[in-house]
Amino acid sequence: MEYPVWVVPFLTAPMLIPLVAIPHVIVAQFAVGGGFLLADSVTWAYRNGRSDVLAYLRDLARFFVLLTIVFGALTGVGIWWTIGLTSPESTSALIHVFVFGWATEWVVFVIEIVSAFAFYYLWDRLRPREHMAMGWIYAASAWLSLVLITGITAFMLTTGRWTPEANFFVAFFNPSFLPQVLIRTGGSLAIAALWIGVHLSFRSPEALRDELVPRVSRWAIVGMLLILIGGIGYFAVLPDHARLNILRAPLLLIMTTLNFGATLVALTAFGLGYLRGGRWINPPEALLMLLIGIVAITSGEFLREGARKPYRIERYIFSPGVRVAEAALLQQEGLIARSPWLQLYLREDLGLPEEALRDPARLPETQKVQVGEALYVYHCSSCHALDGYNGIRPLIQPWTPEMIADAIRHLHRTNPAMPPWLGNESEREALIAYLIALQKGGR
Amino acid sequence: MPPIPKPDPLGMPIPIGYLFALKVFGFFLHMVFMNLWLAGLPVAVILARTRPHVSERLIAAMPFAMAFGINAGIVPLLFLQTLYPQFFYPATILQAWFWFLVIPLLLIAYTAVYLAAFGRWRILASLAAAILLTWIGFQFSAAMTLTARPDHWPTLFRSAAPAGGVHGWTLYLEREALLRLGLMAGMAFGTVGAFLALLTEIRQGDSRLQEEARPLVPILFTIGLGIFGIAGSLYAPTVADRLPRILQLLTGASVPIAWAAAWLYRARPRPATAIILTILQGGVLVSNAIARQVVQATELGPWVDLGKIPVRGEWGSFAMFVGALLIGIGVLGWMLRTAWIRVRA
Repeated sequence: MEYPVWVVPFLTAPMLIPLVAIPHVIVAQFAVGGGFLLADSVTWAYRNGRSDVLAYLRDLARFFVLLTIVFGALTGVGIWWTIGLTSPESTSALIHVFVFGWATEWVVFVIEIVSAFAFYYLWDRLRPREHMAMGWIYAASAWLSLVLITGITAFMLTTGRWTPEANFFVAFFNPSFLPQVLIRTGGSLAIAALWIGVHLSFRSPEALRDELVPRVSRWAIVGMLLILIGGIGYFAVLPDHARLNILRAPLLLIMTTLNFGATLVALTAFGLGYLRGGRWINPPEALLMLLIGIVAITSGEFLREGARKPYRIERYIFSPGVRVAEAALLQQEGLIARSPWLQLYLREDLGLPEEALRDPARLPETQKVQVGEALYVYHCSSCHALDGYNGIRPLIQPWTPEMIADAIRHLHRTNPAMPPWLGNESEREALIAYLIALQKGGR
Repeated sequence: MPPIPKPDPLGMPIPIGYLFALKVFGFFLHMVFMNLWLAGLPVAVILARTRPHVSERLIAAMPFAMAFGINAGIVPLLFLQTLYPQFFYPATILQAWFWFLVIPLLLIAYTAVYLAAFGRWRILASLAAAILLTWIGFQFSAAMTLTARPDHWPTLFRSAAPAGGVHGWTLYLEREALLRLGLMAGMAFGTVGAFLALLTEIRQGDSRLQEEARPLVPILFTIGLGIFGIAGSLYAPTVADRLPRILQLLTGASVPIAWAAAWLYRARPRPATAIILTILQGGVLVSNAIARQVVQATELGPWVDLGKIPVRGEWGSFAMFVGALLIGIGVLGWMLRTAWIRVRA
């Protein structure tokens, strides 16, 4: 609430995050799994003197290195960029808790880039042992990067024993850390295997496919088992509010079903690949399987984000960017009193006097509605666009004014995914006045 | 009083001196690679016909410069957000769309750089990347300048406040931001010059490169000196009271010293003079990285007393980082040594 709010029409600013994050997660997991699969395949090819396999792997590595270094790196930075714009309080908190986790990840990322470049660009020049070592260094650093980032993202869902006084390691090794590392490691192996399936189906002769598909499928089956073990652990450690969100929100239920369904289909495909070799794979089938893999990752990410509400960081920051510890103070003193940007707007743009900032409900109706609109921007617009994503206008359209007032008065009880009202009584009345005006078409 | 948020209640992880040192170190690293693309791409485009070998070498180096430049850029941003989140976030949110667009534009520029390096539409792709990256450079300059100017926030906010929120289409087009970009561009020509000198002396057998690059090095330094001189003479008076005299002297003098070394290299083109030139250009970047940090800290001094922010003492995770850094240096050392031996062979 202390920061200005970026209003993104139709979509809401935080919805820009998945636009960047989901492609990144897919590519980053692809990089991690691909690292292991490439390193393993190159090692096998060298040990068996298979120059045909090495030639094929070089072709595969070119696209792989480009995609992960360019797209993976940039979208990774892009997530950080976007969360800073849309949730500055939470980003600042994550940076202050995990600054040296991020710095360590940077070191690992430098190694990842150098090893990827060396692995691809010096393909013909390195000795086999050196080339294999570069591949395994790449795989290990990409996986370590995944582990470090997972500690941070898992913390947002389950803060566990962490309190603002606790240190980095308490935050990092939070309850959902290990399950999420297993899920993501497994997902990485699976998505990389699915991609290699696509590549093989287009590029390689059938004999090579027969050899490589079972090899790749073996890694992927291990990955799927990791997903299953991690998935069970994940649901076991989910906080009650997150479990409740999944059970009561239809969209999250659909995502859960999609996630399980897609995972099972992929597991079956890998089983077939392992048992029957690569001849059954053709481009449309391989592409369909890759799509199913992408659906599994996307739904998993959506589930993780959706289940977290009403928090941005569990039990520490509510979705509108208010620290849980400060909620009572805001409810007493008012949201406006704690928001310097809102004060600036109300004072300078609307020309409201000091006393009106403390008690907006006493203002004439027009001004009360204007204050309510600004309160909507600061309290609600991070999750509700006016008409687009989670649109507030269509949502309240069938409601009576009494229902609107009642919903706002009991926000968290009406819907556990909503935070409690984080302002004083007078401000709540101003918001209600605005929503009623909005419903009547007055705004 | 500008609407400055309070410092993060979690406090500083370790004493601020360490954080400043890491921020400056990261910024220096970032500048080395970022300079290569900022001046290297326009130089490659302009010289495509007259010095094709130099142009080709520069284009071939760009994917690496981009990868490491973007990577190194994470470090100063990380520590900036640790030290000054309450200044950095409002400054970027006020220009939200422009700041957000940096990522897709960078993605396009990066792709263009690879296209050029792989020989597809070399000049057109390089030109597109050069334009986009210069724009991104300006956007960074605008964001960093506004970060240190909270007194300018209210005016920008009031021109961009739908119902108290921010629409994000405001651009901070201030003279200071342009001058800062100018200073960086001036240094960038020198860095490209030093890179070419070093590359030429490493690739002893490449006579075409020697022929084209050696006379070019002092020209690049002269262009850099000119740009730096003009931007610096306009910018320096605005920060004269905020920058200690010794740093003013260092930042001001380091550029002509490197320029003189470039002419020395021209007269005696040998590995030793190329190394001296590179070290002196490194000195230009280091002194500027320190000076920029001092100016930023002085500009923000009236608004926040960092010394009063409690320190949590995150020494455990700091030790983890230092340990990873040391192991990383070892692994990187082995990889670079191996690569060097194989490339030379």
